[in-house]
Amino acid sequence: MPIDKVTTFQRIKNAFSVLYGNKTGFAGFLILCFFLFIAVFGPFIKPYDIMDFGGAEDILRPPSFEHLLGTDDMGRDILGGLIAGSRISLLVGVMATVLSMFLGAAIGLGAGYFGGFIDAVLMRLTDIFLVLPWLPLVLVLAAILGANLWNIILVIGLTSWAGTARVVRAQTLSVKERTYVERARSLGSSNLRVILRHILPNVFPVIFANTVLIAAVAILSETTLSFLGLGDSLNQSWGMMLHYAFECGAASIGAYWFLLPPGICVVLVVLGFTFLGYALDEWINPQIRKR
Amino acid sequence: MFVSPSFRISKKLGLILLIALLAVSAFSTVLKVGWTVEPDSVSPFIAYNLPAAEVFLLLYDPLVALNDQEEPAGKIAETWELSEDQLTWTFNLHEGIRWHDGEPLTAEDVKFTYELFINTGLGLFSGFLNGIESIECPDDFTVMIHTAEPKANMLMGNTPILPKHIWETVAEEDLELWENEPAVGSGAFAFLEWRKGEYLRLKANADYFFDKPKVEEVVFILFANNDTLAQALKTGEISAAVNINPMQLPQLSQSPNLLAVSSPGYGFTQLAFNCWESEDSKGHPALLDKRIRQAIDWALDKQAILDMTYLGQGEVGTTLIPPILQKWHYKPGDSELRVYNPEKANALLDAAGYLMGNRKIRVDSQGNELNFRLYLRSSNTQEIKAGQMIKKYLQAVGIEVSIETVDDGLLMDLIYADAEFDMFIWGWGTDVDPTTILNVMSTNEIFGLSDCFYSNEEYDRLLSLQASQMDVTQRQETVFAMQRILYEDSPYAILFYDNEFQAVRTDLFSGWKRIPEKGAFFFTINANNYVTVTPK
Amino acid sequence: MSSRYLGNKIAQALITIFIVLCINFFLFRIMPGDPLSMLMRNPRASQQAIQKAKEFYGLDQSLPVQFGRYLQDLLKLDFGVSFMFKKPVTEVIGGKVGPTLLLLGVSEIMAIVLGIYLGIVAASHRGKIVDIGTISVSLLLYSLPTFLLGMVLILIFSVYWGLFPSTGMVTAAARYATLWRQFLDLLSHLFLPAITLALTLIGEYGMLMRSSLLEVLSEDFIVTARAKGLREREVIRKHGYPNALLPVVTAISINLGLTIAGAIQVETVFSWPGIGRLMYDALNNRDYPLLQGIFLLVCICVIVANLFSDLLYMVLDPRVKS
Repeated sequence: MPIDKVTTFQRIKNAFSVLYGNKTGFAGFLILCFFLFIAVFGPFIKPYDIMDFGGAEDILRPPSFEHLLGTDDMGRDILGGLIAGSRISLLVGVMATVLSMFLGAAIGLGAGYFGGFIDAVLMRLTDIFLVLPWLPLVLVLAAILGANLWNIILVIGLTSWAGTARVVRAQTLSVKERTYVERARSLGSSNLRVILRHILPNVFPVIFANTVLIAAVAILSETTLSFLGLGDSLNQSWGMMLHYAFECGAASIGAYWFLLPPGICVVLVVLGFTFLGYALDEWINPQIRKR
Repeated sequence: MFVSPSFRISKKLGLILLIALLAVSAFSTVLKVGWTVEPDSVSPFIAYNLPAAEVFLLLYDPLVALNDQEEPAGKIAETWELSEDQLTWTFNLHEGIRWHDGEPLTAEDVKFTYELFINTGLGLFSGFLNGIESIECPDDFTVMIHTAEPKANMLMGNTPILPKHIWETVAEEDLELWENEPAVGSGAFAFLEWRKGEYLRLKANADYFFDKPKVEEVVFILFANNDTLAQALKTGEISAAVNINPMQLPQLSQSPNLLAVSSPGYGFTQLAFNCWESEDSKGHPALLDKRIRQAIDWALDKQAILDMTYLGQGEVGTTLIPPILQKWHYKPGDSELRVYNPEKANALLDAAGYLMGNRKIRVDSQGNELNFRLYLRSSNTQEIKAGQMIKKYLQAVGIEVSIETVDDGLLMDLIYADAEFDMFIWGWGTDVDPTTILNVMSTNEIFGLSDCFYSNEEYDRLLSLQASQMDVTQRQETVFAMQRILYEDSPYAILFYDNEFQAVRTDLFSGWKRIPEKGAFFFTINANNYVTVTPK
Repeated sequence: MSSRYLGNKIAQALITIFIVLCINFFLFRIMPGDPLSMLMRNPRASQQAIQKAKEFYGLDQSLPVQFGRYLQDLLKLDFGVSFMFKKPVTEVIGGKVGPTLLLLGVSEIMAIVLGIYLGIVAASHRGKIVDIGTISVSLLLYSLPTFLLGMVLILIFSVYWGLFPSTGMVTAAARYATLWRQFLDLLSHLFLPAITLALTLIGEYGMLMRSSLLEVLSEDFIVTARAKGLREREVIRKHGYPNALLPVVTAISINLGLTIAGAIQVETVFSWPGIGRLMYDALNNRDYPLLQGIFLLVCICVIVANLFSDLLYMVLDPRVKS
């Protein structure tokens, strides 16, 4: 069944039915909805101010009725920190993914559509980014640009687009050959118009599935960067919480409540994106995945 | 079914490894000390950090060392006397001291070392030799040092004496690049091996002239963070740890095999202000007004900051010299003392002409806002915590703070190369003698060591005066007066005198001594602990 | 055709290496801060001393000249002098290659053996509990940041049970009665980091083997083999494994970049004295030459591994050859 015949509405409906049918995908969807809800509304329900330090007696208190998940090394409520951190972590994840998606889509579309020299150059670039070892590159870039939220987004976005570009290019190549695209071109539509009107809509599902998987990578990257001390120390993401937990020796003094909650959140969100991503992927490429 | 083979293997492996572990921990005539920062060099002309200073105490002996009560005690010099006019010091050296390579140590080595430090001005020690005019060696074991003025700190510097036969082969202009490995000294321990980023091994000097060490080796092991450091201490992989995490003190103190101490340290942590009165200064002009600086000091609840960063382990900061130096620390009287009081801060800011504006930020009549950049070192969690709290306290009195975290090197550039900052947090370590730390604030040190670009003529005059006052009471008065000036002008808001957190294994070694009485085991004023501890 | 394919691949690899060289050089020159202030650490350094140091480290020339020199020196395998260690970069890196290779090697072998085994088990029980369990564990391991896994293992094995040391490669400065004991000491230090790294890889290799095997099993020649009356186990062993292994083998070498990412984290958490830890230190000390050296080395390894996997594919897969 050619995807391009399906209207947007049907596509969404299909997605949901596939989600219902695919339990893990639906679980991922639910997890993400849960965290999205927390990120959007959580701070209203449980206000949190990173500047709201407790006194010395509040430092690293185990979970209690007052602080359901205990307090951190500055006497702040960990549940509140998790909720506030969800905004930062999701923001970095989503923004970096959007950046990566744009880059990947633009390069993949450009290479696939124009072919020839442009294709060769863009694909060479893509290959290089695919080959460059990811973490060393990210570390070096983050160190060069300096550690703040936007730079982290930039760095992750800049280093994660290559996979998308490849997939998009392949899809573009196949769509390009279709008769109505050929017709639109022969009728003299501008390249940009052809790409946006005829190719992009058909390539979009591929981009989307890829994007969801990249979001998982982006969140993992942010966490890793933060842990290695290249995070934004003033915007407390989950990764930064883990960094501080490590720094204050939470593991060896047994302050599991400082270490585990942000860790579990990261794992859940990454799982959520991964579940959803695979489900979408399976829906878009019905046959068993090749990789 | 598919798990069984691998499971069986890992179980057996675990058992073997357990036995291996027990077998390895049997050797304990090696004193293993864990730390989290290693020396920047073992050349006294290149090194500037505290771990290097500690290693020099082991590798090299000074002319005169300090005993556990901070008093001068003979080392290479057996005795010394001061002439009537207080301008000539005569040191009589022990005969028979040898360098680690077997060469004899003579008066020529002392003369050569001192002159090299004085001529180059390099390293941690050259400052101590200020005021020395000439040195002569009437015979192989006598050194006479002439000074222009009486020199109050002559016996205090712990300046390492270096072997002439080695250092004379190095051209003076190459000193800053010559790494001195392996270092040859005359101290209780000799250089064995340094794997940078891993460990530094020193072996006991078997021919040591003085009391020989009871251990065969001292190994300083670098840990990536103070968490793994504490773990290694608990497992016995190391027998002593410096710079442990204050959060772990309560837990470590409970162990019967461990002695964990939190003791006053030789240093402080400060919030420094850019006080440079120059067209070239890139600091916020409002900070040139001492009322603003004082107001900031009033606005900070330092006790709360200390509680949060070091669990209250330490003392709230006031003047430049830490209280562990009882003789020199000036304690502000009740009338001068600034204790957390936002109203006082507000009143001072009002008086300075900065009134509360619309955005809850104070502005002067020209509309200039009180907003300061605060630089923090990303490597130091405690300082980042303190910075966040300071931001909050200053917000409460109408001062906006924008925090930037940078790495150590970048901060050094910002301060020393460009004076491109308003405020920052870091700390200084001090010596037993007050001159070094007092000197940091002198006008001469602008574009030298001065990190706040402070200048005050009266202060500069007193600085050279105290250096020549041989009478302790007189010198004390001068040093107090200098600290009073600084406290009034507040180029630093000294946040706290941070404690040293150290712990040692009492089941593996005995004879641990706190130096001085309430002090720490290591990073103090002498290397006695390394020599006296005995393996059990 | 075959030699042209080979030449193409090698040319591509060379171009990539050259671009890495360019990135490597220019990227590091725009880092903030003056490397000299880190290098000298002496606020009072004289102008002559600074000049001398600049000349010593080649920082006194213009960028293009520095780049030209850089390329020239690389040909001579001269990576410059590390600011931090004040020794040639090659020497500094050389001392750390061993520990990293040991860690990578041991964890790769564990991961490959166990991963392939798990993949086979999962694929041959497709849809059953074992399969679902394998998939779930693989996904969990994939989602778990490597450093967090390391910390959790330290918490369990070192802090609570006290079974294995958590830092370093050997008991620092220990002396051993026998070589065997020294080996055991190394082994006990290697255990946790290697397990951590292996666990992060097992899931991936397992999933790969699983899907690869499933794909192979649905192909025509398998159906033919089944039709010939071979038993299912025979079918899988004779025709399934050899064909399913191909993508796994190539993926392992392509995967090297990711493995290195894991190694950096593992080495940081466990203070393992390898390249990853060295890179982290070099970053914090703005040691450009050292960082460049490590980055280049890692990139070249990854590029060569990729080339190798291409070649391997060419040798093993008849379709590419023809």
